[in-house]
Amino acid sequence: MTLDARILVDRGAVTVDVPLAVADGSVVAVLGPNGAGKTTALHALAGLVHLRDGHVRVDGQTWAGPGLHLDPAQRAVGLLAADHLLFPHLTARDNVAFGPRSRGAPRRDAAARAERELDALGVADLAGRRPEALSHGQAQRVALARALATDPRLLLLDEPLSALDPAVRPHIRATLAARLRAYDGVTVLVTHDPLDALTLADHLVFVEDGTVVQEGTPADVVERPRDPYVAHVVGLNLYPGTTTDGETVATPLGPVVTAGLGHRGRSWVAFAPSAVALYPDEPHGSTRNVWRARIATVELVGQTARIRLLAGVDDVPLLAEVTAGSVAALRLHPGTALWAGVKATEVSAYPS
Amino acid sequence: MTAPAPTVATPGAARRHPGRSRAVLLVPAGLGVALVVLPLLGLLLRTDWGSFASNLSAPVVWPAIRLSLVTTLVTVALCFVLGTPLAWLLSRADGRAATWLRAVLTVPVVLPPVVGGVALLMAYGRRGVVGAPLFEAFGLRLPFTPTAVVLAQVFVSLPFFVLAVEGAMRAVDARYDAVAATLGATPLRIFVRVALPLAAPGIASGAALAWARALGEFGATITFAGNFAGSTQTAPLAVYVALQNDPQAALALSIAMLAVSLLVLGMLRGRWIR
Repeated sequence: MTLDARILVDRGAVTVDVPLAVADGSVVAVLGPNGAGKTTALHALAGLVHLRDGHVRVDGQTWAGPGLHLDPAQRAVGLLAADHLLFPHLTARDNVAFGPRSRGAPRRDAAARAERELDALGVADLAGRRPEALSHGQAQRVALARALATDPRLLLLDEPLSALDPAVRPHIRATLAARLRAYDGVTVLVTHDPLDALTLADHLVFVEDGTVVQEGTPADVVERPRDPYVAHVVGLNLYPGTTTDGETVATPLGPVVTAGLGHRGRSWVAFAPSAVALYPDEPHGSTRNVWRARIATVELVGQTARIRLLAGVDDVPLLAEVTAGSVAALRLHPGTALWAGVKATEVSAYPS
Repeated sequence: MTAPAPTVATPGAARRHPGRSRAVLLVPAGLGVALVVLPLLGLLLRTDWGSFASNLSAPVVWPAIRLSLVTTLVTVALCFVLGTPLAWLLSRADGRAATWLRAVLTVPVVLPPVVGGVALLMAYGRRGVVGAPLFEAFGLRLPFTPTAVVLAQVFVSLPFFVLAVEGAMRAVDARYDAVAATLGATPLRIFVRVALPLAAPGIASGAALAWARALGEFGATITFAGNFAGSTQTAPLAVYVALQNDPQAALALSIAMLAVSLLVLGMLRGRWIR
């Protein structure tokens, strides 16, 4: 393990307690809602925030621990935030050379290093420009070059794409992914965008109210969310419940017939919004899970409509995805009362 | 055709009339302008422009101007060297100590300058807190020397400088400090390479403020440094003295100081004041 950390920091009313263990060359994404403590955890790794307890070890070297705190300047760390934070009075080249110069490199070596880093990100031709003459996307690439120019063992990315124009985001995301593949240190990516996490990271850590609620590989997390926030991020309907027969799970939505789980006791029930069918009248067919529902909101994304419903006896939130055509055909609008159904074969269930 | 809406005549009609209402504002505003402009006009109108050059070469004038230039430049340099790090540290501190320090530093701004001069004597005078040991150890006497002129000027102008520069440095996004630190920059390097360049306009206007305050310094100087032509008689003191026996020389010196002040103001307007 190259990064081995347990971050314990008090941040207002929230206590952040996040363990992280990451191998060389891999990218771990820390996801969570605003205020979950993601950025605080990142700043603790950088040394900008003191640990109350825990430790930060990189390559076997202790950066922070009981009675020990290395300053940011003493840590081999690179930080990239949502705002590029390039020094406005320096050219792109001098911004990138700032790190090597600060760490004692001769002027000429630092400038050469800056040129190489800029070149690796395809912005070598902008070396002489001041940040004000760069687009957001260009500036963010220069900022990444600056973060990497000090050979950090730990690269910290704090919502690196969130401030970018959505139109350039995929392009910068691809650049970032390519550069991270070539980077041999540990990358910690803080984000609330599942797409960033799923495309850039090998391992996901979900943080809520300062604590880890789930972690795993992207495939594992997408398939089996174990937390409402995680389910929301990966876009699944998720309900906790219990089962006595290993097939039907009692959930807040009501009893849900599943594809079977060979387990008794507390379980999670998950199904995709696209598996939810909507009916104007009570259906009498093969669909075994049917609930009365009422539409809360309707949102169109291209040809797909995301319908937020309140379903079951207790008005439990339920997300359905239907075609834009059926919105018109069924006259779906907020307040409409209807029936929602899911086939048992579409419902996956797993022990909690 | 409908008749125009009848004007309602009330005792308050004058207040409702836009023209008269504006006059109520214009009269005090105009008087305020006059109170500032009239003395300046008086200075210009009573100056004997024909013999301006010869008045300016009166024996009292040049030594006073030279002393003022040298001491105020030293003062500004000291403000920069001592005040910039102080302003930087204050701008990044938010504890109680910083609040108190800021309050203490503001005292000379509101203190009557003569009181400042007395305070300086109590500190650096021959029997002062610092002055007595200095005199006993080295035979060093500070009051009534050009050094005392500088000390008096620094006392009154350093607070102006620090408060102006602290404001400018506060406006420098603290996240730049954090990024520079992660890049390996020491606190000193962050100060020199990030804070100074980004706060440069504020430092320049702070320096101009401090310089103007030092140039005009009178009360603390005459109390603590005295009024010896050639060694502690700065331009403002010389104007005051000359007014008794050579009013035209006093006027010429005043015009010279007015010109320099306007020049500095013009430079500030062009470059740093928006």
